[in-house]
Amino acid sequence: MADRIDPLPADALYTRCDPAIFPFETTAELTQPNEVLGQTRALRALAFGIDMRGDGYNLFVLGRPGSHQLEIVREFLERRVERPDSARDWVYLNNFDDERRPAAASLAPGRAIRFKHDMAQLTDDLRVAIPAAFDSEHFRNKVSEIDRDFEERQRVWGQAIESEANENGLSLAPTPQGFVMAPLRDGQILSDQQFEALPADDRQRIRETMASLSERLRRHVEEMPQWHKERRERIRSLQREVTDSVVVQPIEAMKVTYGDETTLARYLDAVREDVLANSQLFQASEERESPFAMSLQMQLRRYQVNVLVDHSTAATVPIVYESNPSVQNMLGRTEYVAQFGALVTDFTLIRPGALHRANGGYLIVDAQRLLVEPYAWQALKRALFAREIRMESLGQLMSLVSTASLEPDAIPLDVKVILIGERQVYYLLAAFDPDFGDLFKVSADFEDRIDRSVENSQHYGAQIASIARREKLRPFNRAAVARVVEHGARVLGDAGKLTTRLRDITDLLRESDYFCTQAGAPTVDVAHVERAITERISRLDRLRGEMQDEVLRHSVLIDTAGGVIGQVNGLSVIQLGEFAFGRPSRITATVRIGQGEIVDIERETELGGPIHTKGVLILSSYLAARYCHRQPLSLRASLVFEQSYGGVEGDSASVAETCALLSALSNIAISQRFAVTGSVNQRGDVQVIGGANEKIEGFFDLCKARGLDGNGVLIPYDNVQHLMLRADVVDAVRRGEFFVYGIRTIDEAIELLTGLPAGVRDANGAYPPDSVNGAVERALTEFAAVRREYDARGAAKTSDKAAHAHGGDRDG
Amino acid sequence: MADVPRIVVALDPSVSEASAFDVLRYFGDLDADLAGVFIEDSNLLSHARSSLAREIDVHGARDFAIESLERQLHARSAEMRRYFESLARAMRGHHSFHVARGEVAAEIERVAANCELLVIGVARAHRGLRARWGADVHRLTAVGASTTVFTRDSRSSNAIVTAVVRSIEDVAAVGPTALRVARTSHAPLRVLVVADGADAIAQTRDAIASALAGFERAVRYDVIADRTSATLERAVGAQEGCTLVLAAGEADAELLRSLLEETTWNVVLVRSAVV
Repeated sequence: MADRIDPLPADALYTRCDPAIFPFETTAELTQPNEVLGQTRALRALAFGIDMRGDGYNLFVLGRPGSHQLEIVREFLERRVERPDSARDWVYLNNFDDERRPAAASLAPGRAIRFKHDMAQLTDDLRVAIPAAFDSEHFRNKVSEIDRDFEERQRVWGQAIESEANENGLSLAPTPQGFVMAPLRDGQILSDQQFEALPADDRQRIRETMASLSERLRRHVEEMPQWHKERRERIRSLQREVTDSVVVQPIEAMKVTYGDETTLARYLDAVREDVLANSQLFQASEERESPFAMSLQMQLRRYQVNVLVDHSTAATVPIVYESNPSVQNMLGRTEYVAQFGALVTDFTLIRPGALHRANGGYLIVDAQRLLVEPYAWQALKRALFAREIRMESLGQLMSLVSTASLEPDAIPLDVKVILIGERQVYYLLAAFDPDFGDLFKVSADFEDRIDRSVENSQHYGAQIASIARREKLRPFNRAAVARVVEHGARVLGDAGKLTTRLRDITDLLRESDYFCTQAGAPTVDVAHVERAITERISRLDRLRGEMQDEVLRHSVLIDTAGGVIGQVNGLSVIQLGEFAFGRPSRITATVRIGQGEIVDIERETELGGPIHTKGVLILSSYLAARYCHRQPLSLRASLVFEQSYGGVEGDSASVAETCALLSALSNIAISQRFAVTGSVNQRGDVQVIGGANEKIEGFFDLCKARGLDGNGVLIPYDNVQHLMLRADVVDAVRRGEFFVYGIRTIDEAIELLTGLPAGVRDANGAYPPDSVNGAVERALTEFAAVRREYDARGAAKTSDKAAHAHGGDRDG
Repeated sequence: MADVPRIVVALDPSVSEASAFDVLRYFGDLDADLAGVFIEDSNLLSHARSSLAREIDVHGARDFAIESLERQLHARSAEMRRYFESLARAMRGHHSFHVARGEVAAEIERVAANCELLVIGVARAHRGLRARWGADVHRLTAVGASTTVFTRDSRSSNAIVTAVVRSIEDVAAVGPTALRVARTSHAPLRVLVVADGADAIAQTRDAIASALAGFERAVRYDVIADRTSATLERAVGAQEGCTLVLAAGEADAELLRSLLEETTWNVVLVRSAVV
């Protein structure tokens, strides 16, 4: 018999955090900044990624959701980066050569806003100065001079030809379309009869004169548009001259102010030329609200400055987090306004995207959100490869919008992108997107857990203080902090580790604060933390209650007393979102003579997963290796999770299944007071499983409901280090009402379950006859003998049939 | 002055721009009967009746057929009517529009009987030919309207308003009219005082200044030696647009003729102010 297996002491079931390790009474005494717990590797990677220059050194931060990677990355960047000059202001300006292609210009940080104000001031000044110049006596006189020249030229010509007509007996008068000419005598138009009565010479002379004058008049009429054009040209030239006298000084002054920005110097020259060509825009009266006046006002927008990125108030290089990384939010967008029933746009309606705002700094994006936004991932990759931001509207990409739009200048891009996502996303991108490796060369892998050392527990306490301060919670006393640390271990299901997933901890702190407030206490105590934990479980465990009720009402059959052959209590874990609980299951085994098959009914019915199937195959191999060295495994056994109608996965039931099988073979009853969990290998060693705490508590709850009667749970010995059991379980153990055993081998399990020695082979290689193993081996030997006998009879029959058949042939 | 003043606007085919009607805006606040008349010039019609008449325009020279002229007159009168009615609807009082056919000056005399305000459209330069009114202008000055406005086109409407006063008697007529025109056209106002002895100048100037009190802008005052066309042209300067407001007298026909022939100004002859 193996050494006696003692139940675990109560102290082994829960590793307390000693409040005395915390050097404070309450968290209010801690004022140091947030610390990042146990992320040395990830922070080193972050530092490397930030410092590393060169194409593609963008970062992917891997970690479980809820680990506050965003906050950690942000704080890390804010602490690390200083204000350099690399982040430039960016503006979009009108392109006077092609308004559909607005021009981008960069300025030193903070100068864009100033330039915008200066341009607005220039426009306002010109709206006063240009009308004043055009209203000046000098300009009016010059215009009048031109008009008088024009009219004088017309008058001289007209009166000359009119006089000539009159001298030749012709009347000349204006008509709505031109001139009319007719013979005149004594102030009256000659009738046809009067004309015919004239001497032939006179008639001929009149006709010739009319023909000659008509031709001159026609040529004159033809020339009139040219005269008008000349007049307009002279006036236009005068307007340019007058306008330039007003514009030149302020424009040159601005060129001096912004002389170091070469793009702006060119732009200001273009502004000057445009003002000279469009001085009428500055003469629209403000009193007029006609559509025409409004249209002129709209046209003055061409001199506005659209500040896309302004760093005038920035203390550091840009650190931008884009929570909704759609194409438009990343690359910027062009808005439209309705004007006279049509949608129109111009460069002033260009809006920046996250890449614009982050240019020269850092852009943080949630990878999963980015990937589900149509075209957003491709757009980001294009921008990073091309190192420029080229605005592309999704509507245009998909040909959904037919209205005229803009093609703004691309803006050079110098940004470090930090994607935050789950590991699976990272591995998928690395596996399936060939560009990913080129663009995201640095990965920062955040730990999900840290060792639960005293030092780390103290840091955990400091972290709790930081969160309490940030969330404006009441101070936590040291006992409450210690309880939160213990919860940090329980969340992981490992007494020796602490979760770094701060979302769980933050929620617990908030909820503890809530119950503290409810109680009117000034400081959060351990009772408030306990209440928060209990209430949270209470909110989530409706299904657990229902399942236990079904067992108590014998709708689901689970024995917790007595002994049954071939039947054992197994344990499984049900995960419902953030909540998990243990559930006992009855596992039964039946055996008969066969050819070494162990039928996993779960697998046969396709309810068992591959890992469970693997566990069953391992146990069959264990049986053959242990008991059938010299004989075939002549067994056919069936294993089943009774009343299990869902899937079964994992190998944590393989110890229980082995025990059920050994019980069935040995015909020795298994105590139903116990439940078993653990996986077995081919050598019969019991291996660690997950969810040990939940499984123990699940069986405890059932037994407690029926009345504790020496019940207990067998778990792998290596799981003992993970135990962080509920206080009521620990108390029951302490009172000797409930037991937890850590087992290393199948033999230890079978001894505890049967109360009999497992048995060790003697010098002759035989197990003691009154041991469990002896009974198992005996049963298998009997199965083998029967099978051999059966096989021999079957072979003889086959041989006789063959002989008969052969003889018949021969006879025949 | 009648209880409801009567305003008559007369245009003929030589006036190419309907915007000559725009001067009506100066009197938009009056509750007046407004009559628009388009006069189909019998002189043109007599040309058209001659088979020898030739019309010359940008397309060349051709026979001037009566049917063609009728079509042109019809189109022009329709255009004038539309513009007139669009203005008249914005004003108070009744309005009507009709087309008359005959000798222009005679028709104006006929339709303008008993009107307080007569607006006559005058082409700027008749495409270089002499202004129509040369010989007939004395008939128009004698029509008897309180105020007669010879309007050119919209280019002159918003230009400087120049009031010409010779005496204190002129002030009562010229002052309110010049003030009204300057205000409603948002134009600057200038006063030319005709020299007639040092004391009279000062008194006249004080009187007109009093009449113009309350005008929103500074008023410039100048003294001129006489009220001839040449003097006025020199005094006003080479202003392209000007509305000249002056008191009407029996001997003003020659001044008016030369102003209409030599300048492009609007001319407002005032017997008594229509305010």
